[in-house]
Amino acid sequence: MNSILQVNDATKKFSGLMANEGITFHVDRGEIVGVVGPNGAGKTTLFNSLSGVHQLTRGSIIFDGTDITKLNSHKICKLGIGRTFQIPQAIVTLTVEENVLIGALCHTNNMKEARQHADETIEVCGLAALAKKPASILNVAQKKRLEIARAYATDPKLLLLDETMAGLTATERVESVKLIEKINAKGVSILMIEHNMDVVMRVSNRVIVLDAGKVLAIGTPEEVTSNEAVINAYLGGGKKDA
Amino acid sequence: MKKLSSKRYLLWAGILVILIVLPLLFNTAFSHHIMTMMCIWALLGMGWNFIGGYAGQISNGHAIYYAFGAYANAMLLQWFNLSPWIAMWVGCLLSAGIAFLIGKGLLRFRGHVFAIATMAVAECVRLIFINTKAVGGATGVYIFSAKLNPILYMQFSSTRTYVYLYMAIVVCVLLFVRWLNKTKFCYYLRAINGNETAAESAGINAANYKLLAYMLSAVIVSLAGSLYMQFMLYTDPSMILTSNISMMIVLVTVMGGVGTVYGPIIGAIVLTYISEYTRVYLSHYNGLDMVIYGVLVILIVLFIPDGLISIPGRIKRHRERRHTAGKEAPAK
Ligand SMILES: Nc1ncnc2c1ncn2[C@@H]1O[C@H](COP(=O)(O)OP(=O)(O)O)[C@@H](O)[C@H]1O
Ligand SMILES: [Mg+2]
Repeated sequence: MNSILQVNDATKKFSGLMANEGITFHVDRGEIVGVVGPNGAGKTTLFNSLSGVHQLTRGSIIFDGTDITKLNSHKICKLGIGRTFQIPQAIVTLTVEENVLIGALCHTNNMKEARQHADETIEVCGLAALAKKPASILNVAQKKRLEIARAYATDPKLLLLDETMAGLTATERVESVKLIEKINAKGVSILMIEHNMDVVMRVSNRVIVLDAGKVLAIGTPEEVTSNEAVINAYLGGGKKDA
Repeated sequence: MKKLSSKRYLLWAGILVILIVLPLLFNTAFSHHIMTMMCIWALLGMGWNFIGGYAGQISNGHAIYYAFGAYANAMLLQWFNLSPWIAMWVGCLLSAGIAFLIGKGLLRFRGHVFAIATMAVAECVRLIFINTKAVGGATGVYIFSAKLNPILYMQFSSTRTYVYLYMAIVVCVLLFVRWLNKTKFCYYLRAINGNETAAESAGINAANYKLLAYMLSAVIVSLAGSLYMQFMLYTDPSMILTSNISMMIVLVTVMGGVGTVYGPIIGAIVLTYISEYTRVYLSHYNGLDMVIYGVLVILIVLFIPDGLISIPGRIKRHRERRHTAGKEAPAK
């Protein structure tokens, strides 16, 4: 019962394509777990299964002692999994503030309470200056931040972050790391997909390496970086690119 | 509750006085007819606004709830001698129930598919009404009776009574909409409209909320139908159940300002005014009234896509831009 998330044999098939196959791992309470892997490895697909966007073909997902394998998005959110999207899904008809308010309304009907919670979240996420602006005018970095803010406002026990740093400048990345560590310090467990190796290796307690839909390695950053299969399949290629 | 500032208080007091004075000032049956129809169209727009405006699902078949409301009053009177004061709530319940069934079936569709599907359902309902003898078929129903108590049976002899009563009902519904506009319900609908994926991921059961919005909109439109019946004391499917009516319901809201509190009322006032006057003054040139009406609507929708309610904001922004441009010019 110590782990907040337990995934067993997660398998997702898209008409012939095995996007995820036999993925088994867990996230401990308070842990930050990184997910890495080349494009098309099945990382986002895994997040979509965890957050109920679609259902697994095979396997099971236990979150905080509850079997959530077959639940819908909104139910999973209510139970305590917040998520961001790789392609930011800002609610463009609303302001920044209202976007976060939508998250904050997850556990209350009281508008005053929700507004207060939203304001706090906006402050923590460094969006206060943009609060009254329509979400449609934000740039990519701001939209990614808004994704985090809206998800965090739902008071998650586990936060799934899908490439929240892709497309960010070095300074913006530093800010983003700080934010993630701040959220984690409040007791929120984090599972994060990230391409930037420096970031992943620095903030993660453990790292899961996916390749072609399967788990290639799981372990501490040190264990993973010294894993031969990983070096051959992914890190080697990544370093050559850089 | 925040206390109204004195300026706002005056504004509301002023509007109230105008509402009271207007039917006295324009004291003809025709003026009263126009005012009554404005009230009815305001209700239709406010009702449709929940599903079409807030939730963003364009329903093209809302005339059926208008008809259910109207026919509920007529049939319950004919069959059980039931007062319209009660019958209109029965009509609302009936509409809510039918909206539940239709919504369950159709709300999974979005955009054009939903629009066409609701249109098709409305056409089926129209054919059913035309071919059902029990509800008067194509000839419709007539409920006037001098034997009935005018107050108990909402058959007033003075058209002004209708105007005042319907205005009061519009104000009540408006206050309800104003309150609802600031609640979780409407924020959730706006979120679903803006991005359903994001909404779901933030814990919103989009299907349930859309269904609720659809049912609520059916209830308000049904109420408008009941009031229409009491005012006309006669109806048939060609008056109330056509695709024309369904389209007008959409138009009132779109023209006034979709997803806003006051938009439907503004749309109703302007559209009713235009359509009634073009109908009366230009109808001897066959069809010209419809042409002018159509052109006006096209112009407004084309040049003011956010509705008439957006005009003050547009003017303000325009002035500000000119103002800042004027200031910056010498610096360059
Ligand atoms: N909804 C879907 N339908 C069909 N194929 C999909 C779908 N989502 C993802 N895929 C496929 O699954 C594979 C994994 O995609 P994804 O999980 O997005 O990879 P990653 O996030 O690791 O880059 C890709 O080949 C992608 O084309
Ligand atoms: Mg991805």
